[in-house]
Amino acid sequence: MVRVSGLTKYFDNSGGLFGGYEFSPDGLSFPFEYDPDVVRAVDDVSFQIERGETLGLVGESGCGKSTLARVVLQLLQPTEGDVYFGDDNLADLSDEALRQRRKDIQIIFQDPQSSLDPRMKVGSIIEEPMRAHGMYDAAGRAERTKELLDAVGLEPQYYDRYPHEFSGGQRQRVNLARALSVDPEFVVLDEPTSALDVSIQAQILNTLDDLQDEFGLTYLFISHDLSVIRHISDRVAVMYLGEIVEMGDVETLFEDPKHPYTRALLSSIPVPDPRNRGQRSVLEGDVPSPINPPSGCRFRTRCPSLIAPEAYDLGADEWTNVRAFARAVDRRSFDAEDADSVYERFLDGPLSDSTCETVVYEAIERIVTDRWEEATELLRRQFAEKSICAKTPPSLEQPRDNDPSRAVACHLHRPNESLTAEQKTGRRM
Amino acid sequence: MPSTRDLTTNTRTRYTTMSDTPLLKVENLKTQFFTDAGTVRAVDGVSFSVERGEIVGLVGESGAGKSVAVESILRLVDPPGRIIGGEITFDGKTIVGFEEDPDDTNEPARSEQMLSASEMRSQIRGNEIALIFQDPMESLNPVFTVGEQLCEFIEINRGLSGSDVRERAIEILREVGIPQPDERFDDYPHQFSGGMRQRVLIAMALGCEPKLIIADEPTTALDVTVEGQIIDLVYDLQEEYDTSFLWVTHDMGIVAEICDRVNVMYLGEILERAGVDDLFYDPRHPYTAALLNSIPRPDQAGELQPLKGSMPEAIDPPSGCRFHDRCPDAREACARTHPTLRRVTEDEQSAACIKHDAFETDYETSRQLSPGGVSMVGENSE
Repeated sequence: MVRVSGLTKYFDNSGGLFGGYEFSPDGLSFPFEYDPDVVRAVDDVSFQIERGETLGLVGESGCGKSTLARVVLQLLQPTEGDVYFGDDNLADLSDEALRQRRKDIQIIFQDPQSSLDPRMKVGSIIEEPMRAHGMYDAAGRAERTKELLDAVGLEPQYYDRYPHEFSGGQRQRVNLARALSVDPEFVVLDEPTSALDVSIQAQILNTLDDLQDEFGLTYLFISHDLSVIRHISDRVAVMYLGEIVEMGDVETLFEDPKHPYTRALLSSIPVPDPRNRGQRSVLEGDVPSPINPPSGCRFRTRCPSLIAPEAYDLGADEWTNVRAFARAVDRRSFDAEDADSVYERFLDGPLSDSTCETVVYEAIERIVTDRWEEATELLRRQFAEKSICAKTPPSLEQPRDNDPSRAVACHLHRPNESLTAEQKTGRRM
Repeated sequence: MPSTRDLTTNTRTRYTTMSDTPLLKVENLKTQFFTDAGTVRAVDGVSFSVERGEIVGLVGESGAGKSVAVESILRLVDPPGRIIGGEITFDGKTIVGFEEDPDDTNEPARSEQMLSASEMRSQIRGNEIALIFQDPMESLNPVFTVGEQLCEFIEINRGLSGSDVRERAIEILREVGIPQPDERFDDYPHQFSGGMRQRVLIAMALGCEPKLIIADEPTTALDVTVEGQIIDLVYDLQEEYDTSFLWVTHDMGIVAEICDRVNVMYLGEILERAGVDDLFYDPRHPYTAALLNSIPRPDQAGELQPLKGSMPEAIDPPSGCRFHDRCPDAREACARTHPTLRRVTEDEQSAACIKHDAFETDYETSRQLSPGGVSMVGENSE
């Protein structure tokens, strides 16, 4: 029913009088340079949602989930790509036609407080979309509003109350009633329960389930909370830094995650069960900036299963040690006294590849002479940047076991990819 | 609540193998807000303790009174709020102490040992008890560099000066896992990510090597992967410094992950207290059970069984048991009788529910009958 293809949204800072100009005095030329920063918030995202289905979109903050939702709804103009709703390409519609079409597409926001006008009564809030779309007469609208209040689990006599008289959960129900008032087919839910307490969240999630059955709704459910996503979704898309890295049916994706990022996400949630203590594995580092995302696979800077460069002949353990060394140098998380102690700290013995051995020695030499940046640069150039993960961006495609219901964007799972034995063993989490 | 107090004393005398007194002991704490609309009984007769080296959880939904309890411990309750009763002792010092209030006037006299406001400032806050807030951006000053703020903090609390301060600050930054600490030292808070800002606050909290760290929802604003990093960090530091934690949260996942003992709060009262395993596998209070049933689980799909309704206002709490109007097991008597927190199993598990009223009487009787009962309890609790 909803099909999104190649959707891309970039933001840049070229607006405004001096937008995009940078002050860089070198004493010779004009001291301003035009170099706008481009934030690649959503980059080439494609998916489709079937009628009556719930697609869960999950990712950490800043990964572009909410931008994606707004672009799908045409609240933001996409930089590139198309959004098909039924047979219409929303980008091609005229303003008035789009306004008409919006009746079928509604959105629920995270904060139930700020999305309700405090000076309007709940009744008029819910009636407003119907008025805007010329549905029913005044009496008909009032009657429908009371039906809707009942459907979302509120008392019809709340019609004359103001939003501040309600709790957070009840306000979110008012938002639901307003969204449903125009008989939408597709509802985008942007973190609808994040601001609510767990017991209220459970009530709202159950109500969403019931409403979907009753009105035949299609949901795009956006959340950072994997537990909620698992509970409500039929299919799940995992986003990282503007791209979808994995997509699949909810059960298969949660039981057998393929992408290292999905695995890391799943294993880092604290499970409400003391027996699972200490079984989490934790991703290192922070999400890089979308202004200048890493080349190749965007997850590679944090990926625990980065593929060893083909040029080197390294065992899996050796590659792990080399990476740990490179990371420690980058973070400067240790004190360098003399070359031998640094070497022993990170490496178990001489590396089987002589080129690597030389590189490591050169790096250590720079560290002990306090040239950390050079060492970091050297290691990055010689190791991380030589991996296939840094050279080629992986495309979202069926994984090697050919399950048609899922797609993964990772070099480890590319079909017909001939990896060396080392590289295969090297991809253990 | 005489029975609660008796019970805690009993428990403590039997804890012979542990240190003599808990690090933090809160007894029958009452904090109220005197607003125009009426008196809000935000914390109403709460008792709990934190032993040395222990991570104790304080769990509840928003409005349960968790944060007011924390503010009371630090004596940071702002008007119209006021601590009107109870006793808080910390490491032998009396943070809050009131004389007995025979007439129930809500105006009890302060006891003489109670620390003055300036003693609280110079001896307790920051020095012995540190606080980590939910929002790391709001707790850092945006116009000073992270390094300056950390140094100021160390100077005030540790009495170091000159280059020692900078050295110690960088050392601390490295310890909490800030990459390139000597360069990041000169960055402003906005140049740090949320996770790194929270690391800085943890660094500050540790900078003065406090005996107790109160963490008020410290990971709520963070992403799961960063939350995991912070929890691991806390674990490591706790082992290294043997700091005690009072961990305030609404997230049962985190409770299961890090807490040793848990207090469940609802509408200004503690409804259940238990070791973490007992709480998750054998919750005795209907509210705890309902709370656990309403969390979606990442490791399994299944029906959610939410509680009906939402938490009432503390300004006008329900009669009898404060939970009775939402309780799936409520009986007629629940609307009349106010249950007190009392022990319900032999394993130091307490609940405030009349379902369990029979336990203590039976238990006391059986203890008197069998002389071996006392030592058995001692073994279980250790």
